[in-house]
Amino acid sequence: MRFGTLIKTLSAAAAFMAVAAAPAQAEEAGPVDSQSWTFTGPLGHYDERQLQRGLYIYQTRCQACHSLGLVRFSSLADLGWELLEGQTGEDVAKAIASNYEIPYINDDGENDTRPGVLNDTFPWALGNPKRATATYGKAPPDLSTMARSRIGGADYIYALLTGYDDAHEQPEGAYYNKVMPVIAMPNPWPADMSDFEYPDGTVPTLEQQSRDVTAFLNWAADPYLEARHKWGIVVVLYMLALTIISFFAYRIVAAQVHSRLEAEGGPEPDH
Amino acid sequence: MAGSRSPFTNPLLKGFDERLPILRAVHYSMTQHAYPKNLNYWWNFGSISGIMLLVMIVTGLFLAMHYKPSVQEDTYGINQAFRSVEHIMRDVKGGMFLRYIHSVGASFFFIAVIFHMFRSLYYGSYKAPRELLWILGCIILILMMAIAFLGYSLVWGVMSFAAAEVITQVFTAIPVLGDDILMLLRGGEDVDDALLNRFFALHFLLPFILAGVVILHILTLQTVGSNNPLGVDIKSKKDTVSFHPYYTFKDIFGLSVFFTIYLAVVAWAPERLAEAINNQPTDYNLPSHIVPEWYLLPFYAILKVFTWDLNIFGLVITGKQLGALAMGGSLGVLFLLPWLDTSPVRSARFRPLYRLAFWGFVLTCVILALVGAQTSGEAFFIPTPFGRIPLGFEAENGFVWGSTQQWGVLFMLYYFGFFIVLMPVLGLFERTRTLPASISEPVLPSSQGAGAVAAAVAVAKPMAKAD
Repeated sequence: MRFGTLIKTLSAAAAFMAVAAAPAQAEEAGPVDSQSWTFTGPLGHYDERQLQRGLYIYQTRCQACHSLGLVRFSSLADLGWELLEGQTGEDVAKAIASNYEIPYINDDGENDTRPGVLNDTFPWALGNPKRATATYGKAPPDLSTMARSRIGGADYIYALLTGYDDAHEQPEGAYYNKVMPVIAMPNPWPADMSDFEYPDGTVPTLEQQSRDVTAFLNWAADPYLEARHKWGIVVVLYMLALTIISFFAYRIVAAQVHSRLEAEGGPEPDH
Repeated sequence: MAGSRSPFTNPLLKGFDERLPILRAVHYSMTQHAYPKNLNYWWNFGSISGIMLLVMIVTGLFLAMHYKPSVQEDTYGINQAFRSVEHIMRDVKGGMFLRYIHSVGASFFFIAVIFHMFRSLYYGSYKAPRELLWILGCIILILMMAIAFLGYSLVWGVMSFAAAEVITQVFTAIPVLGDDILMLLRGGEDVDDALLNRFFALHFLLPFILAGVVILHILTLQTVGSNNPLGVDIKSKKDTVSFHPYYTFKDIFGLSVFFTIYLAVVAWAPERLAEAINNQPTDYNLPSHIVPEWYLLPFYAILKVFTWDLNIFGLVITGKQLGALAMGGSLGVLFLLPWLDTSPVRSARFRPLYRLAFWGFVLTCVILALVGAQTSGEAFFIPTPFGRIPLGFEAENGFVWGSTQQWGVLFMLYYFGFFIVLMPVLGLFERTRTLPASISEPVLPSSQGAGAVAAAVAVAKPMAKAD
């Protein structure tokens, strides 16, 4: 078994595991088509304008029921905002945070709310799991890690958001979706969206909105993706260089050892 | 150590070494020990495994500084353990790298060890005089499986909870003591805070015990010496080289290739090998489809294929007990391997039938992994990047031909048959190819056929060693 065989075996094993690790999906569910995203591939990165639009969609259509309990407002500072004179990204994040009411217990020991600060995470309008369950029968899940917790990731979320069909008959309290035929989450898109517009003037088709909010949720789940990809380029180039150098170093050492073995008959074993 | 004088000339090193001779122990093992000169790239995985253990311990130490083993939920319904893992990824400087190097590292640690063990199986490295070396390796594998399972539970996601629930339940299959063992593992009736805390304590402790066993494994290796691709013993100093510089440089090269792939996965696919659903905090409901991490899949398949009870003259062994027994047996049989294999020839290069049986065993592990990953009772299929290849179908009466269970039982029989039947029988009846006289003279002239038999017998005898 030579080195070439080893590499082939390693890569075949990796390919096999990649396939084997993806378990079977629920049988009736429709296919999740793969979409093209800016954040896939070796140099994949987020489109900051798209994240801003996604945040807007999240605020408009998602946050009445869902939360982002792991996403701090401070992380919004890096979304590439168009800044006014003297303004920083942090100021924009602060302004967004202050629009939210954060529950806390005040100095008199009463339940109260205060404006959000950078260190807060996106609050949950429904308050807590018990109230959410009492209201909807099933608590709407937190969306902080949603894009990482479904097979297909962003493709799955996009397929789900564009998969509603209200014409389908469903029992009370359930809705029809192509990727999850019986779903408790109602269609987030109103029948008439003609008066809705994006602040930046992008045409708000249902697909566009789904795409933007999906990108935003992927960012929420994996905010340091770009840092990891950049790190990966540096590290893998470094490792490749090390691999090449160590290969020739090994060959030089091997040649020396072989010639010594032939000349001397090998080093003296100590036993 | 053979060298009783310090090999160092630097007064500081010499003075230290004369008072505590550990430096000379390393020096002599690197420069004076005789290693076979023909070790191929498959021998790299031993040192790679050792480095992976170090990577896991170092990253794990820093992760432990930020992790909180608490199931307490906040107002979002997110438990503290899950939140602390996300806190490491989002708020701790470099934490995302630390966490992914650790979680992907678990998979690559297993990849290295699996290649290491299959290499041992192919070249007969477990045979005399290396039985203890092999047994220590099996203990390492079992410890690794335990540690990996404990670590997976710490995330306290959907699948963490399922794993903790299902695997602790396996122990109730033990008659009489089962329920007490369950209580001991869980620290109570339920999978709860007490379980998470003791899992964290054990996940921190066991790697150091593992490191201890690894040291014993290496000491045993230095005593009995390395096997080699030909499987024949070292005959003269012409057959040998010292570890340094030849194998240090070969290992550094192998390690570089391995780490290039490993770190690329960390950068671009850190969660490709994990279950996506575990990125959601648990709500204490079992998911409809429970799967362990990929490296435990073959054993999980053996655990779950038993869906019927066995009745031996009124003594009923339940399916659960059968599964637990078989899973324990599938690991236990590894310990008996040095005595089950009756062939005096080590390397599969000279054993054509054993070589076939070996690749059959590799295929068996792959099929069992697929069985472990797929839903019980449904038609079995082979996943490929181009779609599924079905290996079963549902008949009109609803009976599934070629279900995951049926394939699972078939290949489980091969798994056990490989060790219990093929190993002893092949050794007795297989016509092996002519063995070389020594490592330096790989090809023996055909006229010396009688000498080959003598060499084959000599292989079975432990290497004569002065120390």
